[in-house]
This record gives sequence, structure tokens and C-alpha cells, in this order.
Amino acid sequence: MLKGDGLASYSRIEAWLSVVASGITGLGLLRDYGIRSPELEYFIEYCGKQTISVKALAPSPLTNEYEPLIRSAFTQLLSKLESIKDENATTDLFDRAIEDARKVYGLLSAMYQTVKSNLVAI
Amino acid sequence: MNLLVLDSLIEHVDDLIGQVQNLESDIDKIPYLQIQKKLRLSKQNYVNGLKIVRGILTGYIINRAKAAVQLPRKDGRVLAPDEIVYSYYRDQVSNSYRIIERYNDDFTSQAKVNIPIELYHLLLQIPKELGLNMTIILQESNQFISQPFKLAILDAVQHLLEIGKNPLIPGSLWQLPSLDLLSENPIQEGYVISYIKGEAENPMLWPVLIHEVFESIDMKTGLMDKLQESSLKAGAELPTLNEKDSEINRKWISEIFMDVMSIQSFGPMYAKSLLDYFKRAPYVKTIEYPEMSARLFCVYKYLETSTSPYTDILNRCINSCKGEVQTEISKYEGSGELAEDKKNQLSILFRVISEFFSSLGLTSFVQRLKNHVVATSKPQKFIEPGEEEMKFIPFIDPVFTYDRMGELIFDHHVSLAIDPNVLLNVVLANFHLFKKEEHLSVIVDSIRKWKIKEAWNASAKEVN
Repeated sequence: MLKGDGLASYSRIEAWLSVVASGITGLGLLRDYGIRSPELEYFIEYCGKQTISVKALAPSPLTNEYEPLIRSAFTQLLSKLESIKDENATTDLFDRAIEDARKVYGLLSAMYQTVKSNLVAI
Repeated sequence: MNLLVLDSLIEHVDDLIGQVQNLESDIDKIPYLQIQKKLRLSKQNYVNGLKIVRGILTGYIINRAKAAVQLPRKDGRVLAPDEIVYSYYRDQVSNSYRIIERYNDDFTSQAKVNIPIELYHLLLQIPKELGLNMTIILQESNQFISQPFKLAILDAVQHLLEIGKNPLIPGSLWQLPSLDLLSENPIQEGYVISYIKGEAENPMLWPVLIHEVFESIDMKTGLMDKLQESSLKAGAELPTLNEKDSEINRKWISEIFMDVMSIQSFGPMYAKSLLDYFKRAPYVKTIEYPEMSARLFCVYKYLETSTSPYTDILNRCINSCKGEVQTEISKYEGSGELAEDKKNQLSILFRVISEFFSSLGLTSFVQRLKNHVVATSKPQKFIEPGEEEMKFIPFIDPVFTYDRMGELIFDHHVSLAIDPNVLLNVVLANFHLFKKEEHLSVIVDSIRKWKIKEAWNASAKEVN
């Protein structure tokens, strides 16, 4: 996650928000309906690959501020995703995975708002 | 039929489509048809972006919620479609709201810019010199950044577009209509260059836009790959600035590449512009960006090595900023950040990039100075003397020296129809004299006059 991916622009953060939101959808559907939805498959696949496409003159201070937090939260989430591959994964495990995904989503949202409002966190 | 829970948002998307379309009246106010055309392309892209989000709400989320009603839940409960949207697609819906608002903000910041619209002329000449017909749009923001429309608009919804193409709902016999929203609402090619809103009227930071133009050209044509190929053909590999990771090394070199291309094209005052920006937004190296010192050292190499026999403008501009950049570099040398071996690597890199710049046929600042002198010493004669149309012959400027240009702009407020790169370098070299309320309009008028003169000259060549 985030390897080589400076969240330099709104659209890059939105992309991650959207993918994580799909992940939350997918985890919920798997927990409640027992189906592995395309949303979940995409989410898991997306997390494994990155492309760089936004180029800025210099890094944003926000990137330095938020990325370690998001990276740490994401690492936790990835370990949960590994656990739910087990067919006997419990509802409780799904709840914790969704909780972790929401934590990542929340951090990305906070970063987005900060970028948008131009309040540079230091 | 929509779902009640989404009605309000869908109505809002329709309202925003109208708002973006209504910005046509702002585009009409721009006096340059080519720029109007580029902005209209951008407008259509954002309208299509909004339509794509609308399609995701109506064709993706609603259909999936309705399909999910048919699926058996583990706990036996049956949820209504509205409940399914709320329970499983809530974040997707709120993210859609965020995205459409951003689309509207972005295009509004393109159509209602505070930066002088004439800067488009300065920026667009670079792709033109490379024979590229590129759509580049300026946008107010809070960063200097460039990205293609495909990312500015599609990145946020790309994965939903891909999932939407798959009509299967796992575990169900339901077949959803396959969505191909992008074919219905294509996003045309182009690049958005954002600049910091508060710097719109600060000429000192305008040169960093050149950096973003080269980034855009790289995204379109793979300039960095060409640099690598050219270097290998010459029997040398690009230097290694990061030994641990080749991908990071490439990114760092790419950043320096853009800086050197920018200073070769714009001229020596790019160094001062970069230094000023770094003073405002200093950073520690990241996986994307090398240390500021490496970038400053490479633009300093330009100040150290460039010469021009045509006028004193190059030397005078270099002298105005060299000391300040040198002082900054000395600090990094003192701290050990710029050790001798690293400086050697960076010097090689500067030379390789400068040779590559020349090989592309781009107009260098030194060439601009030569053109400035030649064009003004050999005025073209378009119409025979005595003909009635003589009064329409454009005024031919004399060769302006560094001092004379400064006097005319700062003391007499006279706009000069000369290459804006040359003019801006002299302006920035004398920036202590710049007063926005007095001189900004003179600079902008100069770019406008230069553009008109260029058009005159081009049409005169056609006639002759």
C-alpha cells in the first residue's frame, strides 16, 4: 500500500477513498451474505499494485504527515484480509476487518479535508 | 426508477452539470480562441465526469442494491434496497458526493482563473516547439501539480467503472446490465496544471509552471524514457542517485530532469524561482523527490556554465541570482549533504540532460536571446513603401539591452513586445523593483503584444 504513491492530489486520495469504500462494501457482503463480491476482489487486487501518475513540483507537507499513519493502519487491515481468507472466519473477525477499513477510510477523509481546506498540519 | 435514498444526490448531480455548463459565459470572456477551445474541451470532460458519477449512482449502486434483495442473508433478514444502499454502499455514496463537488470546484477554478490568461501563451509554446498539439489547462489550487484529465476525472471512479462492466452478482441468478459509462461519456486527452492560488499574481513563481509543463509532456510522450534511451545510445547510463532502489532513483532523476529542462527553456531565473519556492515550502527527501540540494545544484550548474555572445542579458540575469543560490549550496556542502562524489554524479546528469534538451530542437534561452537580437536587427519588410497599407506594418522594436528593458518596464511602465521568457528573466532579475499594482499589467501587456506580433509575423510570412 502506498508504495511509491504520493497522495499528492485530491483525485489520488479520492481514488483510494473509493477503493476502500468498495472494500468496506465487499467485506460487509461477505460477512452477511457469504459472497465474495467483485468489490472485495478488486479491493484486494488494487492494494497489491500501484501506479504513479500525478506529478508535483515538490512533495506536499500533508503527504509526509498523513502517509505514515495511513500506512500503519493499512498494514493492520491487510493482516485482517489475510485472516478472512479462512472459510471459517468468524463474524467478529469480519467486524474487526471492517473496523480497520473504516479507520483507513477515516484517515484518508481527514487528509482530504485538510488538503481541501489548505490547513497544513505540522 | 431511483431509490429514495439517492434521489437527492442524483438531483444535485444534475444541478452541478448545469452549473458547469453555465461557466460557458466565463469562457466567452477570454479573448483568445485557442484557449477558449481548450477550456471547452475541459468543460465537456467535467460534464462527462459528472454524468459518469450519475451513471454509477443509477446504474451501479441502485441496480446492485435491487439485486442484493434477492440474495439470502445468513441471518435470514430481508433488507429493502434502500437499506442495502445504507448498509453496504453508504461510503460509496458519500464519496460520490465528494467527487462531484470537486469536479465542479475544479472546472470553476479553470474557467475563473486569477492568473493572467496570457501565461497560456508562454506555456503552450513548449509543446508547440515539439510539434505537439496539447491541451493544457491552468487551474487554481493549493499546489503546483500536473495531471492528465484521465486521472483528474477518472481516477476516483475508475475501479467502479471496471467492476460495473461485470454483470454478474455472485451467488445470484441476477444479471445486471453491463455498464460502459466511459464509452458513453468519453474523457478527452489533456493535462491540468494546478498552481497555488495566492501566487497567481506573483511572477517570481510563474517559471515553476514550466516544470509542470515538462511533467505533462513527459506523461504524454515518455520524455524520461527517451532521455534514458538517448543516454544509453551515447554509451552511458544515467547516474545513480539512490543505490538501494532503481525505481526511486528513476523518480529522483526525473525530478531533476524537469528542473534542467525548465532552466534550459525558460532561462537562468528559473533557479531563483525554484530557490524561492523551496524557501517557502522546504522539504526532506521522499521516495518521490530527491533532496532540494540536488535539484538546486543542477540548476546552479546552468548558472555556472551558460554563456551567450549576443547580449549581456544572460550574464546580468545570472549575476543577479548566482550568489544567492551559491550561498544556499554552500550550506549543503558544509553539512556534507553535497559531497564531492555526489556533485560529480549531478554534474554528469546536468550535462546529459542539457545535451538531450538540445537534441529535441527545443528553443533554449540562449537561442531566444539570439532570436531577440536577430529579429530586431533585421526587420522584415512586408509591404512596399508608399503603399497605403504601410500604416499597418507592425512596429519593429530595437534591440533592448538589459538596462533599457528594466527602465522601460519599471520606470516608464512601457510594455515590450519581446519574447516573454527574455522579458520575464529581466523582470525577475530586478524583482526588488516590482510592485504588483504598477508592473503586473505591464508584464501581462508585454506578453499580449508579443503574441500579437508573433501572429503578425506569421501572417506576413504566409503573404510573402
